Amino acid sequence: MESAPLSPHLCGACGFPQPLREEETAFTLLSAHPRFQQDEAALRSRFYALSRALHPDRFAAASGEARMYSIERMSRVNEAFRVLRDPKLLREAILSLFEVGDQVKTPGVRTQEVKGAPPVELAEAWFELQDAVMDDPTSASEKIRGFEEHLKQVRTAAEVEMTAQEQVFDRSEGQDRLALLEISRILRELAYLDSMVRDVLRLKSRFVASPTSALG
Amino acid sequence: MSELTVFSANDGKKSSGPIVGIDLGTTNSLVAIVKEGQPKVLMSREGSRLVPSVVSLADGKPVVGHEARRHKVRDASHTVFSVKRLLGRGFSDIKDSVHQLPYEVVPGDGVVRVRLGDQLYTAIEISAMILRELKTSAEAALGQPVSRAVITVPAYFNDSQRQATRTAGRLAGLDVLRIVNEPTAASLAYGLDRKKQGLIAVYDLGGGTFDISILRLENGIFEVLATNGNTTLGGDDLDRIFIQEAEKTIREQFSSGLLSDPSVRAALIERAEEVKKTLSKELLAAMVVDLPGEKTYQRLWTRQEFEEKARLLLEATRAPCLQALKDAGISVSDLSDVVMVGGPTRLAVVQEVAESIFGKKPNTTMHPDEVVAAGAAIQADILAGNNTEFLLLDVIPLSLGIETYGGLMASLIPRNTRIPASARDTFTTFMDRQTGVDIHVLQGERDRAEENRSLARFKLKGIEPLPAGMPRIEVNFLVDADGILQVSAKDLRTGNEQAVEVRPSFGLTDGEVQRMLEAQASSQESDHAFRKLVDARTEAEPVLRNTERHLGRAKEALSPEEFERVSSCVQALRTALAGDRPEVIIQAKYALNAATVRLAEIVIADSLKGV
Repeated sequence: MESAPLSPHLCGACGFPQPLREEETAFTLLSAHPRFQQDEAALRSRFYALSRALHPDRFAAASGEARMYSIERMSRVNEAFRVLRDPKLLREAILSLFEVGDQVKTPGVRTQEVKGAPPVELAEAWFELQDAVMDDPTSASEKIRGFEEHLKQVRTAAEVEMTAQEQVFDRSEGQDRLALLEISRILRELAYLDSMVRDVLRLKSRFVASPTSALG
Repeated sequence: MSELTVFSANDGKKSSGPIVGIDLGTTNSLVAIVKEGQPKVLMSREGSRLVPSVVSLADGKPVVGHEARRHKVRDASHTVFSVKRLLGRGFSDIKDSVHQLPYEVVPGDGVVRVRLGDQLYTAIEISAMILRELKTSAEAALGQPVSRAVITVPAYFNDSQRQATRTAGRLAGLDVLRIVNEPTAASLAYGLDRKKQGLIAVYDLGGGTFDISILRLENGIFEVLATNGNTTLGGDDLDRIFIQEAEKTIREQFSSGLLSDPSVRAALIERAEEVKKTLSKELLAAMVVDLPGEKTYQRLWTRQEFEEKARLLLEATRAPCLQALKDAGISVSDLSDVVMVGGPTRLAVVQEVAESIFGKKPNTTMHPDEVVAAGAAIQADILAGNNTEFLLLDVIPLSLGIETYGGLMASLIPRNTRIPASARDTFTTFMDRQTGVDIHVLQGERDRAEENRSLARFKLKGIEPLPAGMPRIEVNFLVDADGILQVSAKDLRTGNEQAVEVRPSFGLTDGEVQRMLEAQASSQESDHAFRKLVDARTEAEPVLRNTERHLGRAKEALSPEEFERVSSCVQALRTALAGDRPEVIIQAKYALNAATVRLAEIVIADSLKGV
């Protein structure tokens, strides 16, 4: 288990940490395949082995340069370990590795809200709901609840579909680019659903009296 | 790659000699070292293992430890304690609790200062005095100079509190090789016994702070999964139960004016501590405080009464514990042990509260006062390269980010990220031909920038004057293994490193530290010079007095030339003594001694003849 190669990290001859190279990613750093399903125990064991070799505590008496590379490399290994165990970050990392989706980082803009294309049927239901609530505010509570239920089902279906596509990609040994495109599309859809959840909440606050606002 | 650091490290400057581990506590401090694989607490110069973190003035000179502690009541306004509560903080952080302290806290620009006699000191300088005392004690105990140390801090200390601790070490003449979190250090001492593996919680209640850390111990790796805490809750607050009650009664029965008397305040604090200690053994304890004007405050406390009030306060440790478990992604039943650390965890009521949070009896086998210092010594041993089996993997306790447009905080490095950690972000300009950008670095978990701690403001300067939005400045944030942030910046268009000017919000700038170090060196020098002057005067004055006494006899017995020589030497020594140059005094004394050899013989002969 602890046979993670140390060669890209440490100089074979001098044993000191090496500067990071452009092509190193979260996956290469922890010697992991870019797959959605990761073996957590194996990752941890590789992470421990690397920490033992790279941690700045091991270079407290070394030259400034060795210590600097140790901090630099260890901080990236730490980041890789976090990314590979967090489904959301892992998904982003895989899509960006295969250059799929809207994951292009625009300098200065850090969190980019990707507005996806709305599923047509859902968008229609949303407009109908708004009209219905305006026409008959007394039935708002019931109708909104019905729509929320519908929204939840669509969301669950999207997540199930995403998991299925992730499995397709993993089974293809990282060859199935179409699966990645699908995942990217589902991500956009989920982003759209999230923004719709917020819109529904706003509608609800306007038309459905909450116990506290009833007091006023 | 060159780096612009907030505080420059001692690059490659390696000295030999032992590395000690220091627990710089709110109430007590300790220094320890590993000998033959086992951590040992070193005796202080006063012959004890614990050095009270108290600084007082005796004959105008600062003293530290038990002696200072004895001054606490007698000379309350000249005695400073619990200074760790002020370390790395601004006045706005502490203004609510400052009235509880019997010494004067002076608000200032950024750091606060405390009054000790007629001088003002920052909390950093007071902490440096305590550290210097520990350094001297360690040197005496080990018989060799000590210049390198690992110092512990509460895990929930923020960046400026860590910076302040490191600066205090520097002022004390210590190269601080590592700042270690107290509960993590404690886990090292706990895990020295290799049979102890698995997931543990360290419940660390100190004098002024509370920390909870969740760790995984596996084959010598000590991995912190999550940490949380409260830097304003500690054993001192349990003492406040008795103090508040006393204040109320004194205000009602006597006068509220008594409460502003520093010696009354100090006596209340002292007595409250004693009552708390007694109640940990007995069921009843009396609090008796003598007040000015022959008045006495008295109150009988039962343990039950105290515990009820204490439980309410200690409930505040529950939420941090649950949050830490949640952040670690584990549940209470996954824990194999709950380790108790810190003096106040001796109290049954603290153990009870911990048990109710974790659903299991806490482990109280570790020495609550010494385990942190022992762990610091083990970490020192690791850094010295003697222990290659153990490795600590720690996290940052609070998120780091920057203020973005609209006064919001954008998190760059989330809390519980393993350190060292890095993050980068790109900035640009808003106006045409703008050559500087202000960046506000924050630490905390709140969305609104103003509700988080302001760590520093950076000014990126020397940006090419280009149309707005054209420059691309990449700012790199690096949290080192001490949990301290370093910032560097690069102009992506030109590849030039950018100047980063850092003003720590509640710390000392590099320049201020340098000035303090210089002032310290020159004050030591002037101390030394003064001692030489006093010694010279002490030796010369009797010689002058004796000669003057016998000048009448000299005029009779000596030749006019001899008398003239003695007279002029007397005059020369008088002039020298009026000055402040010890070497001139010494020379004049020798000259007079030489000139009075004949006179001395005559005076001795006279005395033998009984004249």
